[in-house]
Amino acid sequence: MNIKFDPKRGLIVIPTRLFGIHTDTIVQLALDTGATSSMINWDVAVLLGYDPASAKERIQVTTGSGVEFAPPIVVKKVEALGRSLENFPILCHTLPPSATVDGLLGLDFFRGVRLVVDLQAGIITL
Amino acid sequence: MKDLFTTGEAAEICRVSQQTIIRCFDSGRLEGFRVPGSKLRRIPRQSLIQFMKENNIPIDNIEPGRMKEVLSLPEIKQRYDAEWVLIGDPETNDDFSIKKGVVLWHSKDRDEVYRKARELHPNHSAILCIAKLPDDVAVVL
Repeated sequence: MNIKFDPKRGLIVIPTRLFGIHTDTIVQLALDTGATSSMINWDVAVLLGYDPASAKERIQVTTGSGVEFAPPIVVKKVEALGRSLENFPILCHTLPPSATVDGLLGLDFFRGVRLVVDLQAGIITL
Repeated sequence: MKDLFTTGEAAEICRVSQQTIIRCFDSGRLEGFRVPGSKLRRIPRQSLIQFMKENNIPIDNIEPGRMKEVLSLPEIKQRYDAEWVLIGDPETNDDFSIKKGVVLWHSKDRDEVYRKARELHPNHSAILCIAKLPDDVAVVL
């Protein structure tokens, strides 16, 4: 599947469908090949019926500005770019609103498949 | 336009249980009256709207046409420029980009939109930030 983006500016935003306990929502996640894990804003997890606060473990997250700890949740199903993964672990950590996205789609979503980011044509292909 | 509501109808409009409506009615927080000669409760439209406003309940369910309109993505972008929007029952392309939907809530405050999404709890929804990153802002995630 192909998605077009503006190759000259901004983030590469991938509409992503997340399934919760009884609901589903489409959020906008930034493609982040510098992130080993995918991540969604805490409130999105709660909206889907998950309870990050009750997660027993916290994963160490190394960011550009330091080290933080974020709870992982297992999302029933994640769909993006024509790929669908069930029981997919995602970290819950809220990005600032100025990021304009609801989280990140990291390398863990793309492992084992061929992802092509054409920064000349502005097309991402999976 | 309906001027009187039963407790069941009010509960559905407010998206709370009928028992909650009855409790609020009986405590006087929600004004209404009992049908003469019976125990049936009735709630006038204006009382219900007042109650919804006082309790931050979106009044789109009681105001026909208000925020119920199905809008295309260009229309959403035009109306809610620089805002976050919660879209109900979105119609999408294969890549999940939004084609159209009903805007259930909108605000410049992202956290307010998230909060309302939790309150409204739509079965199928989408969250979209209409704002674009300014050219002089860099993002390092």
